[in-house]
Amino acid sequence: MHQEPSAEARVETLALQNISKAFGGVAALIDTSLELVRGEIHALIGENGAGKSTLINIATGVYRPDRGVIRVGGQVVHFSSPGAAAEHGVAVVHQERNLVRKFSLAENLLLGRQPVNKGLVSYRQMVADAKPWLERVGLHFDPRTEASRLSPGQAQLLEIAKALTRRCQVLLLDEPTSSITDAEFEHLMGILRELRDAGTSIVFVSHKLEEVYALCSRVTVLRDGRNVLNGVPLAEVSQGDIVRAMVGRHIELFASTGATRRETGPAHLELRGVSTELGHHRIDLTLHRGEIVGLYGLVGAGRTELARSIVGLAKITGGELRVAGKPAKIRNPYDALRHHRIGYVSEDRKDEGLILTHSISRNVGMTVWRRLEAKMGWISESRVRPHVTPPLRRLDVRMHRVSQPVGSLSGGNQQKVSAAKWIAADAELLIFDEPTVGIDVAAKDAMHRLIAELADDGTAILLISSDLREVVQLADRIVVMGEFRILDELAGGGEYGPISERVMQAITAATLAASPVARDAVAGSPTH
Amino acid sequence: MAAGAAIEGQIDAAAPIPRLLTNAVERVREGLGTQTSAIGLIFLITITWTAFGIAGSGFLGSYNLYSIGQLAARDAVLGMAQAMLIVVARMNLAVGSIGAVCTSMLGYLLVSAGVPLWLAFLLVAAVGVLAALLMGAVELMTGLSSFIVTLAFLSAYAGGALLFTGGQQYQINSSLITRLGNGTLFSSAICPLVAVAVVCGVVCWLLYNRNSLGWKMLAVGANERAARASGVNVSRVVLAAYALSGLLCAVATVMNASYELNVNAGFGSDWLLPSFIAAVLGGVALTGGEISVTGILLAALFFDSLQSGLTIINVPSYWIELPEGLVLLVAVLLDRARRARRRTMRPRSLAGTPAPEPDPVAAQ
Repeated sequence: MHQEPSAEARVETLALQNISKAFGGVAALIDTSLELVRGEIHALIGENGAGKSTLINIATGVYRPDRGVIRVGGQVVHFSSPGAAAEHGVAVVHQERNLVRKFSLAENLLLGRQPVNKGLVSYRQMVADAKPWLERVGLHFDPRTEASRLSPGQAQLLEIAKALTRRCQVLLLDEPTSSITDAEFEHLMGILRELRDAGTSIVFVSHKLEEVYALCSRVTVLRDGRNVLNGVPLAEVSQGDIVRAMVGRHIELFASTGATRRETGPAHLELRGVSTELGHHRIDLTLHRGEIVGLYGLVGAGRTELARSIVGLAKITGGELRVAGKPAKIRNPYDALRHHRIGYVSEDRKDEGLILTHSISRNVGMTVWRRLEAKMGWISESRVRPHVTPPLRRLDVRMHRVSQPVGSLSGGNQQKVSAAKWIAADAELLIFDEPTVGIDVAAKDAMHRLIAELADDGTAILLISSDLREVVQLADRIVVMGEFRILDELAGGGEYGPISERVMQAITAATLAASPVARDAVAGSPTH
Repeated sequence: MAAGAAIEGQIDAAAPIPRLLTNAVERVREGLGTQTSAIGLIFLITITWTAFGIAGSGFLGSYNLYSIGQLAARDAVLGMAQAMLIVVARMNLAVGSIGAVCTSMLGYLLVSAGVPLWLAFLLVAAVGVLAALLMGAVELMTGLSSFIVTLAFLSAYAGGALLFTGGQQYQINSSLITRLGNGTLFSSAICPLVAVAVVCGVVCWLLYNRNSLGWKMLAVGANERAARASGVNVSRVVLAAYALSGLLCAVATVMNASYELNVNAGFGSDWLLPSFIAAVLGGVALTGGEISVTGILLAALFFDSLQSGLTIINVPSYWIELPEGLVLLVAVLLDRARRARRRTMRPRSLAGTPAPEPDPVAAQ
């Protein structure tokens, strides 16, 4: 199904050979290679900390290798700076966006290389220059549009356009799909294929194996700074092989075991016509004990905001919130935890989920200190430890000891610690907000298992995710949200295809409906 | 996959030794990391004492050591009062003004009102706590920074204390207070106030290490959003920190009054600088979430030794304020350097065991 470049077309573009790199005496890469040929999309995968970023930074001249050779088009080169790499046609699109939100698309696109006329930037020229590049990646916008108006997926496309303006032959994409929707991914895929057919070599870094299989022809897998697979055609390896290569052992992916809908208990959380200060209006939502409700929607649909309102991080301005059948007033997460056993695993792991400078034990224990303390609040690490270790063990957190700062763990393990805190707290209702974004396959799998097990044990779970596959896989019920409203509700556990179609329909219908309604409202208001 | 398996075997075989090593190194580093300021301060104090012992006659004499201890004890308690709020990522610019209010109260109660000593102590403590709580309440209600709020109360309280006393002097003649500030403990070189400071230090240490309130204070200071989202009642914790800071200001008031004896509402106007120096030089991170009580005690001792030494070698008193300010500057720079170093250390220790991450939970 993928077109292999034919033998005579196998022209090497960028090759990194036997690269070694150490930081402060610690090896990050050991004899690692990555070889690209003209017109291919090459997957580069590995767990967090496997060395992908270091390799990309070497390919783009940010770091210099300690040993090894870099060749561009067969010529040995030495990149002394990122600029040098760009001159050789190597461009990179980083995971974090580098756009200036207040600048126009054209300004962002040609930042630092604006057309100049007599010492002044010629805006007219810039807009004209930008147009074809935007068209090329399918951004049919006026180049004068402010960049802040782009969705994350469109911002990604703008970044790619930016790389293209530098006339690159090699394009490195570092997790381009971590925050975009399925539809945007389809679009991105189309563009990347066009680029490939035009002869560009593309490196695609992703944690999502489905995407890798859909898009790439060859794969290089890194583990602990070494090549485990080196440019192997994807047709020759199964997903299981790749996962095994990445994690170094065999794991049966939970996501491939097939979903079963579970028997659910009585209603635990009920929102009746709830409005919030963040802009929700008349939200009805019920969560039963032992049920996973997937809350799906595009970025900006109001899902995180709803979760924050439930746990008291934002105000509920109307309607009724009931927990276990009784009306509840939750003013802050302290109320949520203490009176209702509700926990919130934040999407913002670094700023809200964890205290990175504090120990694992302090982070996990925070929710249970109140329960464990003696009179006057006396408490000790040894008293907390027996309550902290079981959830960490259950989640298989890789660490040296519980006194280690959380910040020294890998992203996946940090996410596990962030969840472990609420398991220690024995939460009866848990809200997981994008629990698997940016974490590796093994950690993601562990999170999926955990969520399912918790529900099996009777915990009510609200799963917020932009990964529809994850939602379909895990949720007993799927609630689709858009524009701070609930658009549709359907049963989970079915076939991905039809569900995805219906979900997308609901979202599209809502977007279409939104415009005439808005127009009516505007036209109607002044006359009354 | 064969190649993968081979590499796997290799790494697994080689792993235990470096893993043990990095484990041990990191453990030592972690232990030292929290105590670097204390170790450095012991070193500084040794140098200061040696240098002034040689240069200035009488520096190591019991009379001089006594007065260093007297001052350092008060400054250490001021440092702890300041640290209570620095730990929760706030600050208390009004330590001195709360001191002025408490001093006026103490003078009035003992001299003008003739209240029994125990009751006077209790009321002064209550006034200190209330004065600080009021600032905390204002901060929480208005959402202004503690800098602004405590700055406003700095002048409000100082002015209030003056109004209340009308500038009156109070001559305290309680024998217990006199003995506290001018008696001796164990040796003629040790002022009993040193014991007061050590007791406060022990209580603070217990708070931060063995009490959930102290743990919550550290959590709020390190990352308020995360603490709130994890169910910590942030407002309550912040108010408690203010209250404890006020309580320690009241303790410092009594300490100060016990060796001055003739007190007025002008007391406390020079407390702010030593409170910051003791806290920051002692290793309390200005960004919050970190504490070293030992560091505070040692920093106060160092600071007052330096001052005393400069006086003994006849540096004019106008000049002594110059190094005071410089010490604070150096303390802040050290604080920054410490944190910068820790930041660069972290990724390294992260990559420190690039091979298999250790057994889950097993190693504790």
